[in-house]
Amino acid sequence: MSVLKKMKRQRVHLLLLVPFILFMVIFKYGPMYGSLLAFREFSYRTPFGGEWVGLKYFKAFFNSPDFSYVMRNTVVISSLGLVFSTIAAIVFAIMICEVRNAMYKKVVQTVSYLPHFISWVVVAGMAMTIFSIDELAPLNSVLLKLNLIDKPINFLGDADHFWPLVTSLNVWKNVGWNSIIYIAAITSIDKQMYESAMMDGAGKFRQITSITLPAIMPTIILLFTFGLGYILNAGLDQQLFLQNPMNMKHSEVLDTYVLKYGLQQAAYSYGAAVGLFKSVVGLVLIVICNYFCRRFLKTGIF
Amino acid sequence: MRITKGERLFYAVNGTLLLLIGFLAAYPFWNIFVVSFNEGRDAMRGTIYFWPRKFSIEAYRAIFNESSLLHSTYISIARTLLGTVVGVVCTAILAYLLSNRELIFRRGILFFFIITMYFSGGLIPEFMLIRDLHLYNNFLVYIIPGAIGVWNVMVMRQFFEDLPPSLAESARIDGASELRTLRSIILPMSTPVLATIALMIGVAQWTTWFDTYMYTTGSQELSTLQGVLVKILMETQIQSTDPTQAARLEQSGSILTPEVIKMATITITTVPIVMIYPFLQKYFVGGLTVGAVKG
Repeated sequence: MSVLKKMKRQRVHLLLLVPFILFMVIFKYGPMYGSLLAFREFSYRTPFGGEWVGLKYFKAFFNSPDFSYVMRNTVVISSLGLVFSTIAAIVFAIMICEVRNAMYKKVVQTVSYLPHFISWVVVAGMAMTIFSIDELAPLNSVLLKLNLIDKPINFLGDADHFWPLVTSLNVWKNVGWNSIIYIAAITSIDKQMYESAMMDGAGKFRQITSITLPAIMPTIILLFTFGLGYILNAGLDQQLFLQNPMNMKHSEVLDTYVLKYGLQQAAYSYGAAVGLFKSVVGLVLIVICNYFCRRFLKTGIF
Repeated sequence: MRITKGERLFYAVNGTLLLLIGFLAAYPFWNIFVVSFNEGRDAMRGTIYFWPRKFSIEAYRAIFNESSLLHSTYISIARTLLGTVVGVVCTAILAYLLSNRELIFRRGILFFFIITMYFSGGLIPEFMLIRDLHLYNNFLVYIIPGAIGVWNVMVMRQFFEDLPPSLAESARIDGASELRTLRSIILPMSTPVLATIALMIGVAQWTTWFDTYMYTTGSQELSTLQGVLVKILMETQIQSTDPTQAARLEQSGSILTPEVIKMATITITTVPIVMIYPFLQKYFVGGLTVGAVKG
């Protein structure tokens, strides 16, 4: 059948698709074109920017003193989040699968999803109360009472505490939810393997290290690799809400940096350049990770 | 099978540790809830762990007396309802259109949609676009730009593709239009995936703060509850890193403190979600696993 004939036959279908394609052109492809502002001066008269300036704003970012610590924070915070969230989710999934009382299992699992469903605004709001420097704040008061410290720790204000703090919160928020996939993977393992291992005298830990972990290893590697693809997405919310002038050197990441310079200080072209840099590097990383997953695990996202 | 001593110990330790993990996940919510029902000045003395010491609903009364907060609650509800309806309708129609295997230029069209999941223009151009489209300080900014989530479309398309194609085929032979086929044949068989997507969109609408923060700064009228929380958070932040601030507050005399107002607002935004998700979790999990199998 010729293309034209097929198009004619599917004309209703294609007509219905038109508004959706227009939507995407405006709301998704529009900003992609708009990101060319990174190569132009900003101008109020022309919608997508004025005079072309080439790589001026990219160079300005790479040469600025901010570049090194913003990149460091972004990579460190998301790597810590990825590693610890993955480990925690696997351990939690294994523990959940070893519970024999179905009711208990269900309740713990349900409760563990809870933090996933609330926004970072709320998490940050709670964290500010719990980790407050006030001697009467929940954590500091307990630590003082147990004589583990003699004066309150400034968890939120001290730059050195920022990475552990945000990593703990990332793990807390995601562990239950991330474990779902691992639990599904563990549940699909053949039960006979465990039975024969028991016959051979393998204890619980031996069963976990020799059967469970190897069986879910492909899932772990796949999810971890894709996590690497998103390494520049350290997350805007948690950094923005927990950030303050005192911990800035450890809490500024690409997303907060774009927001701050690009919008609040109206350096539009500069902000667009940093944003475009992040998008392009992010896309390249995802394509590379996908290539490796396709190549070695025979599965991928595209 | 007989359980050995080692195994019994393993199960006991495992169960206890899980109890602890469950406690860590749930306790912060309980603590916030309890403190929000405590008198503000009294709460500043700390050490409220499991139950209010001086019960008070002053914080809630203050919130519901202040018309702006009540108004924000309405805005949050309105955007969640409208946003979910619009989102589900758009997602379902698009997913149905894309699930047609015979579709001409199918690979190209799919690529056109999917690429946007992995590459975006970034914050600044999006901001400019919203401003140029006059969506800035406009309620529609909550509904229109997010009307289509490509990820959701792909999850639903996957589901539609797994339905037997002969059903849609026979409807078409009987002369049903595309939208008619979708409405009368496909959708009635797709309640699980519809529920999943509706929940995903609904929760996202209820919990997002970003659009309020970015696009409605000039209009108090349009602030959502999450937007209000962001503001409270920014205002009370200094207090949690600077001990002198807390002392100053203590001398101010009012029994209401920003802290309990914050707790009460958090409680109001969180309670609806805590109430619904345990009952609907199979739909949430359904969406996750469908997406994971074929991304």
